[in-house]
Amino acid sequence: MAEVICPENKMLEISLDQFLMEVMRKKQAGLRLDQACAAYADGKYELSYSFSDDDAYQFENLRVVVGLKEEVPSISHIYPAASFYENEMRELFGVQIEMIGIDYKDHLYRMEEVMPMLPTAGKKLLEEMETEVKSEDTGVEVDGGEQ
Amino acid sequence: MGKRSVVPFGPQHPVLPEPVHLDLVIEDEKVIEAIPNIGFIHRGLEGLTEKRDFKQMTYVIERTCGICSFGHGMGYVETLEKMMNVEVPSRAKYLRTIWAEMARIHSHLLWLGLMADAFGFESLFYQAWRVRERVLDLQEMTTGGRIIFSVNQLGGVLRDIDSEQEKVILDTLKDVQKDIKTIADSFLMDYSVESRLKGVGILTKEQAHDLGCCGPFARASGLNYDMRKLGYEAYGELDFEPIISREGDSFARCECRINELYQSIDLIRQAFSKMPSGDIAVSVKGNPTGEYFNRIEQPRGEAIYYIKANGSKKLDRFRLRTPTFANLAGLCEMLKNCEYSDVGVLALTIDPCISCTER
Repeated sequence: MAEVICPENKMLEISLDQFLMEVMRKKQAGLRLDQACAAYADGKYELSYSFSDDDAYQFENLRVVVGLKEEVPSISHIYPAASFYENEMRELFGVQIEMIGIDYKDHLYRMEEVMPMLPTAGKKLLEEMETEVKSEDTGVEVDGGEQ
Repeated sequence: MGKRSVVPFGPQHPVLPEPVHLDLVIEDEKVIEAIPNIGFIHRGLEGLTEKRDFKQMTYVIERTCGICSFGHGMGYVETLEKMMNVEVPSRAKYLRTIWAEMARIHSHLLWLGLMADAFGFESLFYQAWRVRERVLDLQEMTTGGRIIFSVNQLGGVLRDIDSEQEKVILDTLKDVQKDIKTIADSFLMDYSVESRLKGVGILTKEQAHDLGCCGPFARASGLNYDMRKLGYEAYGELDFEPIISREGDSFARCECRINELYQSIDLIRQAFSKMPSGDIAVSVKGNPTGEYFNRIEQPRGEAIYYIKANGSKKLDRFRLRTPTFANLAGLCEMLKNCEYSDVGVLALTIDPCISCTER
């Protein structure tokens, strides 16, 4: 994982289980949601949620690392403006965000290409995972093996 | 309860300079809900940044938008400079501040012209853009470009402003300030402008905060939130306070933007009076590593630049969160309960920049 080099750019890395609770804490602390974005790293998604303080200009981030097929709860019921960021993350990277407030169903940017920001390695990994799931469901080995 | 229907607004509409579509749920003549649709000019610039040398990408980032071009270039190189611990010469910081404020003036004057045009004030529209032309001339004189300056580089800037040019700028800004006063007064004191904007499209301070709004849009609702107070470039050495208003209506948003024009002129004067002599750039070697979030104040509000790098020439991730993207939720909220006929003018009060939003 890359080093966070700036002290005022606080980054708190949390697990998916802690995620909603931490976002609630930020809301209760009166912080605004400044942005949310995804990045792909080593077969996983790095999700960054940035919050800031209106008065002191404090800026802090939550980092959640999730698997490519892992479901991430939407925070749009806590921060309504998160809908746009979440739609963007899902459409550009394929992050499995569930229950988005305003759901554009992968058509926020009206693109033909699916998950354009997910690198080829990520797409390949995703395909392999889907093939594995299919073979588990049908009991058929994909490499030409017998049933 | 009247009959509800959904009326499409945009993407092509006489008041919209760029394509954005709104699905308006209307009851009688009142807007009940507005759902924005974008995606007409998405170019995938963030993706492109990860496929090219990070130094070459300054060129691309500056072309994210034709209005806030300089700010994007500055935000991008500044993020890299902070990641690479580059100490930019003080003169370069002042030059960047001067150009950033010139860009704010031309952006706000462009908005004022469009706003006047939306009201049907053709002369005012031409007058606002005539004054803007004078600022564009100054930009051309100092950078060689009228809109896209291409003067930012990693470690400083590519051009300097000499004393003759400084004199021309300061003299021209005197005239520009007078012209802005004439135009702004005739706009803000007009009866029809007041009656269409005062008390219309209100966004409260709490709503602006909860929806993450920024820029003059948020400041008009009472949020004292201006990234220039972070003190990046030379802003830390200049004396200014964010321009805010309490009303949160459409008129307050216009007033805030117009008052920011005077503030920008003042900041340019201050910057010239304090600008030191010296180098305008330092040589930078190596590649960035780590990750960084950087925030600057663009004409429309806070822009966030996120870079994640691995020490190679290609960045792992570049992310640009533009102000209009953050203001979309606020736009939808403020359109609720407004008259259908006001939608066009109200949409313009957030000064939408869709090219930036979609990148």
